Amino acid sequence: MYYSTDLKDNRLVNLIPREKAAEILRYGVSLGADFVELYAEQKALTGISLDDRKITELSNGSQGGVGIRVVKGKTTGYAHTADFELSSLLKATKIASSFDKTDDPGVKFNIDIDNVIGKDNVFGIDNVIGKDNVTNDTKKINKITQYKILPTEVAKSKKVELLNAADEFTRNYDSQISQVTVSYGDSIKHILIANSEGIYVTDTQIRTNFRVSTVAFGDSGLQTGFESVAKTVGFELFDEIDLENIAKEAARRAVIKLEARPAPSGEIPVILAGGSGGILFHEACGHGLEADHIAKQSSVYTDKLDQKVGSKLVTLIDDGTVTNEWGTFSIDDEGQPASKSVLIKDGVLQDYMWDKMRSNGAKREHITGNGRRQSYKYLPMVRMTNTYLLPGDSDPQDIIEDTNRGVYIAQLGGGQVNTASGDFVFGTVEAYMVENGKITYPLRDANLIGNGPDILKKIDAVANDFKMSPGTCGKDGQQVPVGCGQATLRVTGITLGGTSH
Amino acid sequence: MNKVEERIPTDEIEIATSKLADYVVSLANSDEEVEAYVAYGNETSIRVFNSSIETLESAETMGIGIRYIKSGKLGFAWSGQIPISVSEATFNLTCDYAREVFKIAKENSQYATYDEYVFLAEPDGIEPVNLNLFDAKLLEFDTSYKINLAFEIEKLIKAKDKRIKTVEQSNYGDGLTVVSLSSTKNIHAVSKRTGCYLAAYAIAGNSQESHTGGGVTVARNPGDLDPTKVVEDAVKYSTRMVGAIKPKSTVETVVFDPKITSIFLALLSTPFSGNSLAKKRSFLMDRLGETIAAKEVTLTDDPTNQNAYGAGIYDAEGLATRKVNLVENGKLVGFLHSTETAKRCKMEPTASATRSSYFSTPSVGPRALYLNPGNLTSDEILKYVDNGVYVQTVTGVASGVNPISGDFSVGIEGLNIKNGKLDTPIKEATISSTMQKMLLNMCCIGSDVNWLPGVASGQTVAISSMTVSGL
Repeated sequence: MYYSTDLKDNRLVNLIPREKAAEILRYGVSLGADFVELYAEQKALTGISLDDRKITELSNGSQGGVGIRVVKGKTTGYAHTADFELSSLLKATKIASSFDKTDDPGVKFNIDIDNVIGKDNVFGIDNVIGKDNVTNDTKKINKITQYKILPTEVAKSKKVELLNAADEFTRNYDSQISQVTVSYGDSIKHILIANSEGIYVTDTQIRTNFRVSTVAFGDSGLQTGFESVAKTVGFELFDEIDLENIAKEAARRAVIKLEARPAPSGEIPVILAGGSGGILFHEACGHGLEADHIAKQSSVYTDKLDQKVGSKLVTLIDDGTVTNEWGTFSIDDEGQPASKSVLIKDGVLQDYMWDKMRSNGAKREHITGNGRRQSYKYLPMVRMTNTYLLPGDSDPQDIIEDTNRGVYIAQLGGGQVNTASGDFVFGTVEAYMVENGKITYPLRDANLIGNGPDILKKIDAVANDFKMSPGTCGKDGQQVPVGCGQATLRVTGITLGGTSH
Repeated sequence: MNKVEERIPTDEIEIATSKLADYVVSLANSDEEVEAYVAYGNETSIRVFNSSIETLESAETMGIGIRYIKSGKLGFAWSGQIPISVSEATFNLTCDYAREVFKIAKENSQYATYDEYVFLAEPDGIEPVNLNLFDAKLLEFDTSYKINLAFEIEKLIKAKDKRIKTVEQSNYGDGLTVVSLSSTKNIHAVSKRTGCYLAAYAIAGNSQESHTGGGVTVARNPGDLDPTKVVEDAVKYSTRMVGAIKPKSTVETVVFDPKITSIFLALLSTPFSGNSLAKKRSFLMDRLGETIAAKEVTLTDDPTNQNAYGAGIYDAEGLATRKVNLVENGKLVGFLHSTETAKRCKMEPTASATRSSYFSTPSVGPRALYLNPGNLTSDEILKYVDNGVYVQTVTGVASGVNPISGDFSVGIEGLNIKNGKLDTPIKEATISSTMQKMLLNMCCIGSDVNWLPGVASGQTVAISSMTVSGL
């Protein structure tokens, strides 16, 4: 009933068969709901840490439960339970609808619970290991994710070996490396979504990640570096990556910064390396293009559709279907298929990103599949998936040579945006000074600050060396995995928060 | 509006969680160390937008985390799928699940590397203080009262200033938490707490620009919340940014708003952590007894102070919390330690183990950092500084502050300080320095202590020689 660590098979269809789902949804409608949704989840996680040459922790965790969403008028109620029993689910439905419906007409929904029982409307059962997708009767959902090696099928000792090997590679790189931490994580998550519009879908998501963090100690003090890899795949991740290379990158970044000088202060041209994080777009316009911010007029991109919001080199895509990337899935957490959306084309704003509530509220036909949540304990909201800038045709080396004085950023850290003002920051993790068209010396970590609409217009070169990278996006207290991508590009001027004058 | 919860009485939850934790500990053989952390939570959150309830969420959760140690090797497992059982009839079932978690923790221990410093804490003779962190009154308020609080602040903010364009969010939230921690080392720590908050984010501006400003109030029951403060802060912080421009790059004395000081102190806790010290990741290593800050700086972590948001009776290993001195008149006098890091560093434990919840093992951190207040009020600090920059918002803290190297660079919004007074607003700028220099350059510490949500109190603080980057 509750406890299962072996999530090899997706048992959600047994825990919540169609008839049971339909009964819960009908109960919600009988309590006055315009829309009822059931989101069930079972998740198992492994985490391993190595610190100071020791495997300090191997942990396994499991969580699972059902979240019930009830929409009445303009209000959304939400309750969740870790118990899959019908009585608990009905109780949660009652709690989620325990508010009075106001006179205001809210968002319009269809009610078609009979379709939940419909036999063909299923997706993804038994799809854990590379089987083909099943389609439903209204639209074909492509199975995006293919998993080869289920993490639970791999011996724990084999996972532990990876961390020890990475530690060894990292320490061998340079004697100035004084500390190494390595972390490994995998997760298997089954989800099932049924709603009063007639959806009954289920899917399995498997994610694996690996990270090496380093500290170097030298005359200038302590410096840090890291390298990480994260994909929506199983243990086959380690057949595809070069562990030694990841370890060495993490070490190199810390060691090189022992020689780093303070970064400049003030506005300066900035070159971002291909795959250096792509977080520029995630923060400069990604969040501002989420339909919930638009509906609340808390985005600088409100009422800007079909207007020029960036230089003609800016074509921005959000795409939940990129094979095995960190922000990829087959269906989103509202049961909608992932899709590829063109947000900005040649600098002109084309569309926003949508979840079900905002999409129905705007009476749209097409939902972009951007409704996501951290777990069954949370309401879904509009989130990015993999957000990337299409590559251009410049040579990355030419962009550097064409820059008289500027900063070259090889790797970015995180960032943050205020969607209302459009001001955003992002940090450097590996950066260099560019003088007379040449990369000269390394710079200490600093943040950059800019205004989204302003910076998008200042992109004057985009190269052809496109790369994706993984990240974790936080919004309203919920963390979800996302991808970012871009080729080498240049911003003609952005404020760098260093201390050198 | 109906009262939605059918709450289980809190004392029954205390008994149930404690019984479960003790049961897990009873599974240990004599050569095994076992610790069970059982956490129960019941939360409500309400969001209001444009005079409608946007969302109303209700949550009841329970989970268990088990640490297992044998021969210096640690294994850990957790589950968020433990049924909440307060009756004898279902207790056996709950124990079955807990036993599964125990088995996995035990299995996982064999993969750890032997470490002589890995062991569980033992009671060290310090008696727990008596704090009132649980206020039963919280349970008496019905949902409609809470909703009305959120409606009220939204209405008042909109009415207060015509430059307010909208209130992006007006939120109420509350929670009740019960934690039971038991171990084979004779630890039996049961604690409960209540908390609630009211917060709003206003957007002020005109057709050309938008600026956000927030306000928040926290208490142990909704009757003690201060809605007026939320309204005043949200309006003040958003409206005074209207007309903000990007400043020129310069070097200035910077004055932190109390909430920024609170954020800064929380960041500063990393180099003071015994874990950073033990792993040689702290820029404060080997500096005990040396001057590391301006002589005005006396910094403590005191979770036994009832007023502190992070006040607590026990740490995450079940030891009684105590006051820890970190900096006295600018001299480094201590670090925050768990029993493990204290032993590694050959120092005294300070009961500073923390954990986010049942799904993680303990780490080391502060609960209630506190700067000894100085003599000047915030206005007097502005007069003393005369010309500089007042910071009311920081962004990019996660990406721009490196607590290992000490590099500090964050985005800011705030106001110029001119002739001892707050002047025109500035935005899209950064301030930067290193944490090492900032400690030494803290030239004024305000008398205005604010007990803010988080791990540190806040007060107005002036720091000289910060680089302000803009144009």
